[in-house]
Amino acid sequence: MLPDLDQLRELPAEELAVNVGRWEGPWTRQSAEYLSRLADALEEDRVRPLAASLEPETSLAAVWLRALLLEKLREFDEAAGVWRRLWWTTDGETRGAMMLASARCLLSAGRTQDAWYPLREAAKDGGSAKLLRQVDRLLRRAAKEGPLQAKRRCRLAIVSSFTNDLLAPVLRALSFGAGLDLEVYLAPFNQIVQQMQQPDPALVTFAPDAVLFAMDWRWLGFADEEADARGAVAERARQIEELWTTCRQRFNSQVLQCNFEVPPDAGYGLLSAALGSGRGRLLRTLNLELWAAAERSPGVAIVDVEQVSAEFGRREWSDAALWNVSKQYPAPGALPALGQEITAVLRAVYGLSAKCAALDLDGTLWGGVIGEDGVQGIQLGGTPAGEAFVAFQRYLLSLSKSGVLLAVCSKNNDADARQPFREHPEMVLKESDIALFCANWQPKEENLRAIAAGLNIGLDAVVFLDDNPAERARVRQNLPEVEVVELPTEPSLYAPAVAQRRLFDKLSLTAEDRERTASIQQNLERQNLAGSAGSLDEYLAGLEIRVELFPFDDLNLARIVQLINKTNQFNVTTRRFTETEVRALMAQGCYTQAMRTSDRLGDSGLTGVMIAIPEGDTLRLDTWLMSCRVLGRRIDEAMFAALVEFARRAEFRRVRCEFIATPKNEVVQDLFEKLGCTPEEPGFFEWPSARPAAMPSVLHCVDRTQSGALLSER
Amino acid sequence: MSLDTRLQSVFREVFDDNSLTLSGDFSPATHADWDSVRHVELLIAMEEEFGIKFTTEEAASPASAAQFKTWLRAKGVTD
Repeated sequence: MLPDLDQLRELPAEELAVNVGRWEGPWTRQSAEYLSRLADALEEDRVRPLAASLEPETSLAAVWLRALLLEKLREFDEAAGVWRRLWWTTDGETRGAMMLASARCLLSAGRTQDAWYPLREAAKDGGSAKLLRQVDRLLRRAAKEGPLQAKRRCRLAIVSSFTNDLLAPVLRALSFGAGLDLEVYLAPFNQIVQQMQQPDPALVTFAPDAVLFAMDWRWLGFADEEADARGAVAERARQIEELWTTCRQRFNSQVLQCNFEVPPDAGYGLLSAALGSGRGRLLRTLNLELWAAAERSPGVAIVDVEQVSAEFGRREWSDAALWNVSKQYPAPGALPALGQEITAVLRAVYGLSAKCAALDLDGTLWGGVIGEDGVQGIQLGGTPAGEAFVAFQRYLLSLSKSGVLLAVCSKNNDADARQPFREHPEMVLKESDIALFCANWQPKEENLRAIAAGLNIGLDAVVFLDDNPAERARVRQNLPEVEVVELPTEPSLYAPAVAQRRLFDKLSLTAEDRERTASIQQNLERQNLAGSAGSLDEYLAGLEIRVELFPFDDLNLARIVQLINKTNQFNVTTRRFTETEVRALMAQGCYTQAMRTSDRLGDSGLTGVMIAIPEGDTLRLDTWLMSCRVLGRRIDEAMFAALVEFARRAEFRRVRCEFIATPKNEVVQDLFEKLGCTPEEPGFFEWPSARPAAMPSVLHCVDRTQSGALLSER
Repeated sequence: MSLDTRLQSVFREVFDDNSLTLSGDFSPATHADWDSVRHVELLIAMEEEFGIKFTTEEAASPASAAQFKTWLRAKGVTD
């Protein structure tokens, strides 16, 4: 029980300081909020003596209060310093509030660059709409100094049958937490069809990259019972699909479509779904229709309101009074949940989802310590506590099947660590599910670096899962770009804790996703082979590499877009495109080339992408990237030779290659020189089309890119 | 903490102004940025702070700081 604030604030400074210094017990959102109120309520002349009397060593409350008071005294740098010392160790429900206060002080001190990390951390707190609103305010303050630090920018228009003024700030904050700088345009309320047929000039000027269609079930106008149930559903599905088509034609933007909640408290009760013509049945049928329609419509993704409202609780999802007052939907308390769902879709659309889960072992995959307790002694299956770990492993296996790489990052002897994988009957995960196994006594940050390097992914694509708060704090501090999920103390809740962060969502599952772990393992074997073979070509010949080059097509587009958005290393310009943008380039008649390769050891799948844009007598290589798994096999030479051959046939005078250096694409910094291109102005290289580029004879290459509209046009 | 202080801190948070001083006549008429969106934000923030629920009729009526205070007292919030 917190002391009465009015009594507390009347105490003399020293007494108050002693009082706060004695606070113990659970440190909650409420206690943090309480201290903010106390700081706010103190008279000016009492602030400085109190700040001086607070001893930081006495309690966490004393540290917080001191930082809050320093901020009130406008000693922003000093306050920021106090918060900074809490960055790595603060877990739980007060982390967001702490990060928010920290960012606020840094911004007030004019240190915008230092504020990005705490702002992003605060924005990941989906627990409070109020906090997210405050994050959004700070983001807008920071935006006055320059662009937000984000991986991607997105202009999102919301076209809706309900009020979204309160959703927008929450959504902007959550998106920032996911690496997106989101600008939101709210179309006038309840003009859905109108906005597509005759959009407001403001919407046209806004030029959205993405449009969210957010309608609630009332908009559908389904009666309790419909005379023609099938017709009613078909008509609404057709109308919604038409919106998508118009939207894509008019704005060329990604479409996000909210599906429909089945509202509670239907007058028809059970009948609502039991009757084929009842509203409950119609809504469920329509949702299924929309999933199917989205699957066959490029650039359309569903925001699963039906699911998220159920997870949240339907009865709390709506606020009947606020609906009547201002068409507020969903209830204010549900805004973070809806925002997280939309953010999850945006994260997937923009290719910002994580690629790897790095797993601790003791206390995370099983209970106990394998090095001490032995295979017989660890908790795994059998007992209720053991079942919790089995359930978590099942969740991780599902992640792996959906294309997420699993890595082990454990402080253990390698042999001890592998023993349960090989011998324990209840182990769900096998060694073959683990792409990279790092069990040693190195600090975890070093192993995480090795994992990222070994899997050829960025550290920002790694999610660290460890039950030990000390290890989590250490990884946060040394590798702030790694996503650290706070596992609760209760193992039964590990899977929900990870799932609720929505870090791994994807919109489609490619063949490459399904085979990713096997493919990485084959690659490690290839590296061993390379060690034993003589010359490079001898080694390559031994691999019997097949390469297929072909123009982009619908079937492969999902994978192509995925590669464009996540490849960082072998990527000459690192330009990112959404599926919609790639389709636009295809429609323009650009030269597109996708590369698929396989060898004796396995199929690496679609792992290379090229886009070249005609500019007069020049073919400009705008985008060229390859998955790092297939480097060092001279496939780059084959891709380039096909490009040059096409330029010659289509009678371009030259190929112009563009290079943009990034912190991650060092591997291609000399690529064009090595291929034999002539440097032109900085960042550009040239190859005259008349000069053929050699196709490496050691590869078996099939080139199907020497056709297409561009060629016949010219 | 007194009702006045709590109410003021709700207004400060919603209007994003830490120096805001709340007087009884503080209303949409005296403050142009008290628009319909702010109004809903105020309702929500007060429901959260005081653990009460406004009726549809209250929520839809013209309000002022003094009016909110009357409603809150009627709902059992004490000074």
